[in-house]
Amino acid sequence: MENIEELLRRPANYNNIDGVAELAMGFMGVAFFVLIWMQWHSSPLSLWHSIWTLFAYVGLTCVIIHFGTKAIKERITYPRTGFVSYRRSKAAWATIIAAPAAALTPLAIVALRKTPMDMSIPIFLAGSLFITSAYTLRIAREVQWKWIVAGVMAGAAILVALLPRPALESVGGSFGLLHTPFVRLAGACLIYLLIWSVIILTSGGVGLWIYVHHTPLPKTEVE
Amino acid sequence: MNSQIQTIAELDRVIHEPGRLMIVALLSAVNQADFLYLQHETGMNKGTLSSHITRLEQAAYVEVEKTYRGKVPQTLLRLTKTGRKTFEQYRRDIKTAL
Repeated sequence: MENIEELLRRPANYNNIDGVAELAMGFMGVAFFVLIWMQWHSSPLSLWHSIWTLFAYVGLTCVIIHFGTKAIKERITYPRTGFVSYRRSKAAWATIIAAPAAALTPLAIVALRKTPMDMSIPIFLAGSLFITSAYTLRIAREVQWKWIVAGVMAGAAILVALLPRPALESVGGSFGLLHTPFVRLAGACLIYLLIWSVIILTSGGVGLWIYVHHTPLPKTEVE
Repeated sequence: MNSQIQTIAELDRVIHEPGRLMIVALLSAVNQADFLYLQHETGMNKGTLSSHITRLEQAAYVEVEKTYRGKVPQTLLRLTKTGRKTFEQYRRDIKTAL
């Protein structure tokens, strides 16, 4: 019976057999970091602060991810290990609902508190470790070496949490949040976004390299 | 007869064969997949896989579509509604039996 359940999970795991799902997530993370960085380092009147630039930038990022993923799948993955199209998953809807709820709940608790209390680091740690556990559950569970990636992610989150207060506040302060309870949280999140994106991008790149070098093209015969 | 034993006796024999069970389980988790994917996941050779697919097609559990990806022939497979229902029933029966 366990074997049947394992078989049912295999197509979902196949989605990242080539590391492309991680590459897409990493690219998205780096793209958002660049956007935030450009907004931070440009004058308020510059193009980077326009809502239209934001739409165009996010749109372009999504287009690159969509067609980039498609190109890798069609040229590398499908000829080697086959094509799969997925069904709409109920779990995906649960994630869509649960993820913002998980992110907003601690923020709401802090916002509702009358007394100022610095909950930034516990909130940051809860969020970043939640992301790491989601990665472990969805991706690292099936591929042994990706447990190292999950460990690096968790380690990076703890290191960011341990950064000196002024360092986090100087990063968070650049978003006009200097005198709010969220200044440290914003700083920690921005630093972690960059580190997490680089980690996952590297993991995806290594995954793709391993896939290409260990999965030869099959000989074409009539099926 | 004991109801558990009766459940075992009533298991769908087309799906119960291990090779076909693998195919149906994999297809039940996707919308459609091609022959190469099933070959990769099940580790069967082309002849064995083809014969199992033919048997599933005869039972109307699987739909087969021959197409092309560029210039390369591609065989797409998907579970029919009957196939999906039968597999779900099979899972329930096997849980009961065990």
